[in-house]
Amino acid sequence: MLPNRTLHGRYTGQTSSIFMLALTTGFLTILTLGIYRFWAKSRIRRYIWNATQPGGDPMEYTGTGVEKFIGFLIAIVILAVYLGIVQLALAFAGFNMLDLFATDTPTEAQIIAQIAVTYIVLLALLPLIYIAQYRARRYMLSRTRWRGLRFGAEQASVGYMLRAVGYLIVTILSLGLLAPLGTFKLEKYKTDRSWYGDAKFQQGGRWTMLYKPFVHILIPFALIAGAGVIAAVSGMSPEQNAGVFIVIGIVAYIWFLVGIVHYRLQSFAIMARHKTLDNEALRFHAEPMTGFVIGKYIVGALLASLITGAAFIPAGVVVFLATMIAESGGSMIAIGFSGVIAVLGYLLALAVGAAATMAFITQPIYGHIVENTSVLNAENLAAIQQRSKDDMPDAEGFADALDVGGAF
Amino acid sequence: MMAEVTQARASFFDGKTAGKQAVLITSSRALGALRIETVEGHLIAEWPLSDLRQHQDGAHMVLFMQGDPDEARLTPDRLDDAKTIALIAQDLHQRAPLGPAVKKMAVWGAGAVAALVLMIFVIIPSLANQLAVLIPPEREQRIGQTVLAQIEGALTFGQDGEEDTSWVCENPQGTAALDVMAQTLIRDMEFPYDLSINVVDHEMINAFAVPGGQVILMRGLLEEAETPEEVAGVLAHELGHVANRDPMRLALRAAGSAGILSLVLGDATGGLVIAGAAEQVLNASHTRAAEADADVFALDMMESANLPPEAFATFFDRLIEEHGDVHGALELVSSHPASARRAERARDRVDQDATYARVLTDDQWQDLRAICAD
Repeated sequence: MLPNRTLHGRYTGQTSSIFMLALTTGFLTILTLGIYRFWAKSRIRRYIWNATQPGGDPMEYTGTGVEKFIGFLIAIVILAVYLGIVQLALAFAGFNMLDLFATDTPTEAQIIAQIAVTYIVLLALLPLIYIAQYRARRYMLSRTRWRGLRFGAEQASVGYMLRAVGYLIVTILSLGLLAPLGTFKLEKYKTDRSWYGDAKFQQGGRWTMLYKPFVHILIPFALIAGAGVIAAVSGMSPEQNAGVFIVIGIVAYIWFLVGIVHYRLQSFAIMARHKTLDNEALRFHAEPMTGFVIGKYIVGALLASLITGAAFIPAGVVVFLATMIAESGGSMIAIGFSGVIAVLGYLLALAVGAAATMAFITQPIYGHIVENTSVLNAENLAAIQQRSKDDMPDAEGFADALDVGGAF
Repeated sequence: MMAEVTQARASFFDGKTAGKQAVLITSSRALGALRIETVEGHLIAEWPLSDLRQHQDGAHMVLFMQGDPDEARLTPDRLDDAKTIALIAQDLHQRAPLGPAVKKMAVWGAGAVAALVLMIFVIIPSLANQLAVLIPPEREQRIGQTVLAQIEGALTFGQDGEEDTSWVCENPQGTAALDVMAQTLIRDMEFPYDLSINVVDHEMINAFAVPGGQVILMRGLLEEAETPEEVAGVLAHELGHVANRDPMRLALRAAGSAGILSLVLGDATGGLVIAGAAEQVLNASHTRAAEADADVFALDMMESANLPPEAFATFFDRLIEEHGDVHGALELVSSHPASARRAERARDRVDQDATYARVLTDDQWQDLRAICAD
C-alpha cells in the first residue's frame, strides 16, 4: 500500500436530480398532510450521501422513513404530555408574575412582562431542543456508512444539553465575545464521542484559534464605534455626520453578514483540520472558500426566488378569479372551491421553493465543502474494524417534532 | 445480445474493516449469481441474483446481498457494468419486508393519538379549570386590566382623539341607566369578583368579558339594539362568562394546547398554515361550549328577572338579516354557535301566557343610548 495516501472529497450530485427528487417528495408530503416527510427526508439523504464520495467511494445512508415515523410517534407521546403541562404551568406562573409589577392602571412594564412570559415558554423548550439536536446527530451518524463501516456517537445528550445551556449563558454574559469558546467546546464534546467503526474521533487544537475568523464579526462593531468617535471629535455638521454614519453603517452591515458566513465556514474548516481518527492515525484537511460560498449563495438565492415567484403565479390567479366571482355575486360553492385550489396552489409553490433552495443553494454549498475536504493517511483505514449497530427507537423524532433539523 | 458481466472491475467492502478491495465480478442470468473474485482469481463470495439488492435513491450503484450478516458492499467501477447488472438482476429494488415495524407503528400511532386526545380534551381543560380558580380575584382583575389596555390599544389604534383620554363612556345619566339594567339582572346573585360593567366608545357591534369580572359593551351594540331588553340579553350572556370564569379558563387552556398541534405537523411545507387552521377549530370548539353555557345562563337570568327571552332571539334575527349567518364549515371554525340556532333556543323559552316586565323606562333607554355623548 502507498504511504501517505490522501482521499480527496468528491461530490457528484446533479442539480436536476436533486430538484426533481425534492419536488416529488415535497408534493407527496403535501398530499399526505405531512406524513410523507419522514420518507422524503430519508430519500433526499440517501441521494446526498450517495453523491458524497471521499476518495470516490460513496457514503451510504441507511435510515428509513418507517423508523423515523415511529420515532416521531414516540416523541409525540412524550412531548404532548411535557409541553401541554409545562406551557400551562408557565402561563399560570406568568399570570401570577404580572402581580409583581402591580399598579392600578396597567403600565408598559406590565404589558412587556406579559409578552416576556410568552418567550419564557420558548426557554423551557431550550434544554429539550439541545437534547433533540444531539440525538438527531447521533441517529444520523448511526445510519451513515462509508466503505461498509458504520459511524456512531455515544449516548451523551444530557451532558451535551447542560454544556450547551452553560456556554449559551457565557456567550450572552460576555456580549458574544466568548462565542468561539462555546463553538469549540461543544464541537469537541461531540467529536470526542464520535466513532467511525471501532476508531474514535478526537478534536485537537484550542478554542482561541477560532478568533481568526471571528474577527470579521467583531470588525463591523468596531467600525460603528469608530464612526461615533469621528463624529464626536471632528467638527463636522450634523448632515455630514449623518452621511458618515449611513455609509459606515451599510459597510458594517454587509461585513457583518459576510462575517457570520465566514465564521461558520472557517471555524468548521479549522476544527476539521485539527480532528484526528484512530489515535491520530488519520487526519483531515479542509479548505472551503468563503468567497465561493457567498457567490453561490447570492446566485442561488436569485434563481430560487425567481422560480418560487413563478410558482406562486397560479395560486395568485386563482385568488384573483375567486375575488371576481365573489364580487359578481357568484355562489359560495364556487368561491369555496377556488379557495381550496388557491391554498393547494400556495402549498405546492412552497414545495417548489423548498426544492429550488435545495438545488441552487444547499447542494452547491455542501458540494463545495465536500470537494474541499480530504482524508489524510488513508492507508491506515484498513486497520479500522466494524462497530455494532446502535439501536435508536426514537430515531430523530424529537428533533422533527420540535422542528430543529438541519439543512437536510 | 446476452446481458452479462465478465471479469469486470469493482470495489468490494467486506463490512468488517474499512479496507477497500479491488475485485473482479462476473454475472449472468445463466449463472444465476454474482461472483466476486480477487484479482488473483480467488472466490470471495457468490451472491444469488434473487437476493441481490441495490441501495435506493442514489445515482452511484451500491450492491449488497439481502440477509448478509456482514452487510458487505460492492460498487462496480464502470457505469456500463452497473447498467448490465440492473438488467440481469430482477429484484434489485425489492424492499425488505417491514415485519415488526408494522405492529410498532400501530401501537405507537394509537399511543400518540391517545396522548393527544387525552391532553387536549381532558388533562389541559381540567388543569386549566383548577388553576383558574387558584388565581386570586384581585390578581385576576389586574390581569383583566392589562388585557383590556391591550384591546383598547389595538381597537383605537390610528383613531383621532387625545392619547390620554380613556375610551370608557361615563356620563351620569347613562351610567345610572346601565346600573338599573345591571341591578335588574343581577339582583342578589353572587359573583366571584366585584363586577365592573362599562360602555366603550367604539362602533363595533360587540360585547365581551375580560378576566376579573369586567364586562364591556360597545357603543355600536347599543345603536344596533332596538329595545333595552335586547341589550339586557347580551349583558346577561357576558355575565354568564363572568360567573363561569370563562376568560381565565380559556386563556389558560389556549396556552396549554397552543404548541401541541404545531408539534404534530412539524416542518411539513405549509405545516404552519395547517397547524394554524387546526388550532382555530380546536379553540373555537372549546369556546363554543362556553358560549352555549353562557347562553343558558343568560336565558335563566332573563327568566328570573321576568324579562322576555324573545329579546335575545330578535336581536340575533336582526344580526342574521343584516350580516348573514355562519353555516356548515364556517360554523366549525367560528367561536360562536350559529346565530339562528341561538335565536331558536331563546324562542323555546318564551312563555306565551306570561306578561314580561321592561328593563328600562323609555327615558332611561334614551339615556343609555346617549352614554357616549358628552
